Amino acid sequence: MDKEKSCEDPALVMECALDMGETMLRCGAEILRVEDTVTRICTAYGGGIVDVFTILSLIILSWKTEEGKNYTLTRRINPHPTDLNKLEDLNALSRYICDRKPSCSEINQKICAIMAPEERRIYKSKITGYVLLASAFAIFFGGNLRDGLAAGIVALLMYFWDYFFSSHNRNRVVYSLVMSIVAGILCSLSVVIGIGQNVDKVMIGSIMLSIPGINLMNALRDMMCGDIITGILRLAEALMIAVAIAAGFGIAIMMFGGVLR
Amino acid sequence: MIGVFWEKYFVMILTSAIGTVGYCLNVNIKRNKIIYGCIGGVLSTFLYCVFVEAGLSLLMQNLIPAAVVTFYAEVLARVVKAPATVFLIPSIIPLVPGGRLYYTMRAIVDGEGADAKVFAMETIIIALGIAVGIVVVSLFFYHISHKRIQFKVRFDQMKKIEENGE
Repeated sequence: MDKEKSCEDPALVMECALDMGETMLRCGAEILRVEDTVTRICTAYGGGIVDVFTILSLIILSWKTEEGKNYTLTRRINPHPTDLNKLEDLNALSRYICDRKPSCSEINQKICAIMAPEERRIYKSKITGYVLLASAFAIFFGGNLRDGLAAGIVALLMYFWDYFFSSHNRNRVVYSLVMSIVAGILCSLSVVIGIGQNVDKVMIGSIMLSIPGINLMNALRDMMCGDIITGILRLAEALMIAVAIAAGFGIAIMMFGGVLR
Repeated sequence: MIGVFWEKYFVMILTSAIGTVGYCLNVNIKRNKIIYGCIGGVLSTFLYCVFVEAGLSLLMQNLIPAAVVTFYAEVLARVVKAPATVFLIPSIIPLVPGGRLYYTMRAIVDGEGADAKVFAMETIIIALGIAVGIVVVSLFFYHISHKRIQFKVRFDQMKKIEENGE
């Protein structure tokens, strides 16, 4: 390790490392990956002893530099929708940082470029994703083409619901409940109108839209790597979302109880 | 035999491919990596269909495809240099018991306790099968790749500091 690079201000380096950790955690990385990245960046910029503790909503980073000074920074993490595209970019960036050791301002610039808030517009790719997912799984679980069509229309409407309401909401469990009630009502309506034929297949298609797959997967991977606390937090969240989805569709079915059989 | 199998499950495999692409678009995976997720989804569905036809138990029907797909994702992650999650999540999606979840809830709403119990048990068994399949294989890869990151870095540094101090 050359001495020129290692004499950057430790506070700035820690800031950068925490920025990386925070952004990765928000995009849906495992705890092990976050801790590994933070440790690697700190050691790349000049030795010492690095201690990181991470749970779902907090990172604590403590660093004893080679000069014998102690630094500690804490960062609260706010929830953010999972975005695997950004996660991949961040992973590549952390490799780049450990290889080349760029200056802190350059790292900051790159992180800002990746995490720049997207303009709030209607994404055609996301609409396509919603429609394909819902209609394909309506047919996958045994529906016919008309059920697929109905599920596609419901998914399209659900995209606009998401577009208008998801940004106001911090609590994903309550949001899932409300969203499933609306989706259930729309599914029932589509059958009442006569687009779809089997209400169960249409509903299964729309359930697949909001299933907390990434949470569940990350919970498993965290527990496996030994981060039991975060694993339990994520598992609890995923299970609560699953129950909320089931309850939401249940309420919608009860509303239409007499009409559909 | 193959013709019958194909006829029976062709729709499932085709729709799983389409649905997986939809899911990839939904969670915003990079465009050039969608094809890997799609292949993984088709692989897991195909294996699931084979094991359903072979008459394995409900647990094994989901455990083995999940394990195979995890292996596929972890290998691909090392080849293409991206997090394994990017390939793993779309591949698992066709195995997720969305249908069972719905029928459980439906039975509860209709007040049919016995049916609800059966469906809930099946949902839990499927989820358990997927979880075990993923965990077993990724634990194997975890032991290969993360053998020495955490502790060795730390104690090397401590040793160095001690040597410098003296």
